[in-house]
Amino acid sequence: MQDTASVVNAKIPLMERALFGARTAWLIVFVGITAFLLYHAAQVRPDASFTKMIPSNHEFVQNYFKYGEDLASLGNAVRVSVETTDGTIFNADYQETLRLITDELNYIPGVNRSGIRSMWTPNVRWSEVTEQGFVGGPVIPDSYDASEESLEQLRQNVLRSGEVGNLVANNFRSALIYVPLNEIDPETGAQLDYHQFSLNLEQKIRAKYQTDNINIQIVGFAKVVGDLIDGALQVGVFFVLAMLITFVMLYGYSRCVRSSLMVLLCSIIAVVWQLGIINLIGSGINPYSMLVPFLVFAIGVSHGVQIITAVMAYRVEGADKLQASRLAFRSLYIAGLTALASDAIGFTTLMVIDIQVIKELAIAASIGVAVIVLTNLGLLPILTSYLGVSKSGVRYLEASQKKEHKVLRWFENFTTARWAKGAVAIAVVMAAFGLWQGQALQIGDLDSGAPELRADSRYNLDNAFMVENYSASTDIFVVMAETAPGQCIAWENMALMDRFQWYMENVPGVQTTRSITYVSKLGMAGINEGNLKWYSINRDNFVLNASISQAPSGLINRDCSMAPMIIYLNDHKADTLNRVVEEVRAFSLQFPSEGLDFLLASGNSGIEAATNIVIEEAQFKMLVWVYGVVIALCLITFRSIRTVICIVLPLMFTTIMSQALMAWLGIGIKVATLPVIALGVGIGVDYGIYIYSKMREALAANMSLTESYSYALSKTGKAVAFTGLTLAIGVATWMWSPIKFQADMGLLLTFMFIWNMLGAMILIPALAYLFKVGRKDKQTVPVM
Amino acid sequence: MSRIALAAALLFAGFGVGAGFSAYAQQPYDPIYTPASKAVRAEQAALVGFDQFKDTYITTGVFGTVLMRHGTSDWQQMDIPTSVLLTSVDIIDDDYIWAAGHDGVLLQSTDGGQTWQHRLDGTELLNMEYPWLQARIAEIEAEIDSLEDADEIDELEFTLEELGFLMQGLDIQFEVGPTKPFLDVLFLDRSTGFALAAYGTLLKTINGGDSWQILNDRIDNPAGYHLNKLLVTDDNILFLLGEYGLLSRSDDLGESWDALDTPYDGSFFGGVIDQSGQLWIFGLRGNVFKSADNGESFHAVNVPTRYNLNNGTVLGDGRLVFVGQSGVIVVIEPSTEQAVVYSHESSVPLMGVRQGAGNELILVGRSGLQSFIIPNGSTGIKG
Repeated sequence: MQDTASVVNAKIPLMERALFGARTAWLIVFVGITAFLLYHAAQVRPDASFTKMIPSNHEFVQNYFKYGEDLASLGNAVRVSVETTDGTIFNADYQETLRLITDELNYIPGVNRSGIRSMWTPNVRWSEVTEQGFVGGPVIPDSYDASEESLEQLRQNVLRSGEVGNLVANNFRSALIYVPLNEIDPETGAQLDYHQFSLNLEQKIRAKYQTDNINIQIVGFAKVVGDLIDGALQVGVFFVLAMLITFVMLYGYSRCVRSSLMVLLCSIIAVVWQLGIINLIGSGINPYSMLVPFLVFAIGVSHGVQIITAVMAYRVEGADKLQASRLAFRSLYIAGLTALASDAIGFTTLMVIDIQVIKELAIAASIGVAVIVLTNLGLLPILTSYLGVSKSGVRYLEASQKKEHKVLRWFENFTTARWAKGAVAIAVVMAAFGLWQGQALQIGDLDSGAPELRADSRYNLDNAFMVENYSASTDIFVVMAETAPGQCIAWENMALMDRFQWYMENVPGVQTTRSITYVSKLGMAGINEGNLKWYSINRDNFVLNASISQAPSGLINRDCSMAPMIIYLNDHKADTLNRVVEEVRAFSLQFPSEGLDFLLASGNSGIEAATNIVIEEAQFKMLVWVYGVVIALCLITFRSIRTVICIVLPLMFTTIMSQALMAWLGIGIKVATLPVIALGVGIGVDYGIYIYSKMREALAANMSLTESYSYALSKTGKAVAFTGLTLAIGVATWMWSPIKFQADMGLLLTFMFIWNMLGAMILIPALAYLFKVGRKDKQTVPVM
Repeated sequence: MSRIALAAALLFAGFGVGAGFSAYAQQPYDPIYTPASKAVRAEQAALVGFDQFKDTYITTGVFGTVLMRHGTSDWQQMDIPTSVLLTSVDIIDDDYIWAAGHDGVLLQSTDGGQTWQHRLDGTELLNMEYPWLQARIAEIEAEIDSLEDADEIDELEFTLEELGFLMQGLDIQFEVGPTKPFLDVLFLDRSTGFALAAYGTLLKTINGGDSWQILNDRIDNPAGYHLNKLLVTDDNILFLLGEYGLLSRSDDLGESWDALDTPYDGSFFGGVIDQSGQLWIFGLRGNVFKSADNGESFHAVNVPTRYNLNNGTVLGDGRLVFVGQSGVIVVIEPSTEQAVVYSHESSVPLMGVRQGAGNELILVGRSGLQSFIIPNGSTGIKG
């Protein structure tokens, strides 16, 4: 590393010379890049693609993709319930409202008009067997004139239609409109715009028809996605809130408006760069990666604070603003780079989770952190070298340095025998409790309804209403029965599918099942005057064909090579899903068939089963990777195994405690919460790195452990505490997100950031004491 | 010839499958010889056959499900060597029980339901029906040749045509497998019994099921309507009920049958003989008829329901209970013919009813086992 420059210059790190040697040029470059990326950042689009949120490479999802188009007509529909709080649905005013809403839904883009079903559509019919054979007609009498007689006739028809519990609520106080959707518009070929569709439902249906005695409930996948996009956008507001709080805290910390604004500005620039680059590489921002700007901002602020603190400290010591900035950079850039590198690499370990949104989050976060290296370690010292810090800030620091800081002093206790042993003992007890509690931790989503949204969200209230008043579960697991083309209704395949349905109905957690075989058996009874003694799959293909002539669409695919076996579940708990998956496989082993494969899995619960499997596999792998990376980086930086243990053990403690917290709060390990652990560890290690690098300086100067820790606290303690709070506040605002998983992420990250901070400030000195770092025999202390 | 060879091959295949339990998994799935699985939800399976003898109850249904109970014990699912829909069951005495099902399956237990044996399957039935039908056709053809009256010839040719259709049906079954469902089974004692099937098939045994005789041609049923139910009086008079108002009586244990004047064109699904020996029959759309003279004459009983009635029983106090579609339960006082209609809360089709303890009815139907307490002195509801 020897250089031809002067001896004085040789002591100055290359990086510092590169940066400060051409301050003006750098400033211009930064301004230029920022302008360029701001333009691109403004074009970032929200992106809530369903396929990105599921593990696309998993076998189940691959099978689902294979038949996605065939299954679409079956699944992608919304159900609009119209409830009267005044009497029953057999009321002229109510029926008029229902008719108007049915008509209105026809004109909402994305709706498959031919498939709409309600009491007011002609495809909803009643039928009964008479001496002459089948008789029947539309449920709405041809002669309907809103009179008492025609309402009574309507009531009779509804009872005969078999739609009670299906289109008509069991208590006759509400009725449904079943609205199938076209994912791709058959005329324009355009993809369904879920956000716009959801908005249309709210404006043209809910807002328009909901009155004092009419309630509208809407459920369905499209509505979940719409609400998700809506809610995710609201989070943008939180960013402004986080910024304001952070500014107040920065000012409170530094008493210097100028440096507070500089830190804020650099952190915002980091966010702009991150968003701009995301857009440049053709990515969008999804409800998960929406977390990244918050993290980038908070991490930027935390590193900026370190710089500002150092600049002020050197100003107190009498350096001029350029000198102070250079010294601040010199003293911090290694620790800063290590910390940021561990963040970035920690985030990239998320790539082991084979789910696109998480990969995007990992990429976005890594980019964000890389950007902070430039903005907050590079741009910020340049800015301070020009603008300096205010005199009031320097005076405040000078004053506070002279004053004993009681809280910080208190932390020094943990370098003494009693406190160190006590702290470690308490941590061990808590970790043991955490491990015990953490055993209750479950994979997957545990709440009913749409787990993405809050239990008390409009959507989930509507969903609960549907579950209560109609007879169908919303947890749907679909197994695809695959045959050679044209063979899906061959007797031997139908008979085995029928057996499969019965087998699955006997699996605990399964409510009921539906498929073409059920329709065929009912059809057989129907052909035979309703006589259930014919409730069986008939070997005669002509009879069998006749039995399914009235089958609703979607129960077999176009070339008759696949029939979905629809399994309604009690819930979507991981146990239930695992059991269903196992039993499907067990059935295939017990009844092997050459012509028929039972392919897993589709339906919301089938996809969730796949997600759970991927998450479960990734969970351990990700922990190994993230800790592996953190340990390797600390080892490279500090060259001491004891140091690594001192830094990593508190992190593990936090990981254990956060898992216990998840178990206690009933938050499962899922797409949203698994990354949090990696983020928590990756960012959490920063505190340890900053504290330990200062301790190392002191230990190198032959100070005792207590003196070294005292030195580290005085130099960086306030900044670490401040960083913990900044990070926590940045993500804590998420707890108010209307999206459940964002709130879960916010809660867990807040918890992890604060615990990591406390862990670093309490357990690092305590562990250092126990490992006999820098006590008596100072020569053997592995400080480097 | 080839057809018989095929039939033999099918028969062989059938026995081959049935013979080795370990082998069945290797074969394509066929419910006839696949044992029923023990099911945690057996009591919620669709159940359509129901019988009672002393305090033993037995019910049969989909996927070879057979449930038994003695007195008020828990229902127990029996080990059954088939998975076809078992449509009907008849307890003869403490040991002998017969069950009938789809795909020509007849099962027998000789130890009170503990173990069950296949006694007939659809392939064997086809092998009986095929030569029988050939003989019938030859017989009619000979008769036509011997006749001169054009009208009589026309009539026989019509019959011949019908038999031709039946032959075609058998041909199809030889190809796709036996599909004909038995709809009722009734034994008068351990040796003499009857099994009724779709398309006008009536079988009789006089040696406890060792061999069966086809009696289809003894009934006036040229179109081959389904035979739904066989009733027997204390005096061994038999009544056969079927599709499209089919109603026949036999006074000689089924050897000959007299078509009765039907009061109704719709299908009959069941009937009971009340304590005073009167015949009650019922079927489509809540139609109930009563005969006090062994079927010579009937009159309509006014029952206020439009739902099909599927099954009935006589209570200890002489009242009659009929059950049917949409959970309808009809209680009739036979002396006054006063009918009270109740609706079971499940609203599902009910296929069987027997008296439990006191006013309790045990019901079976599409949602499995259910029960109903007949309210005291209630007037019921309109169905």
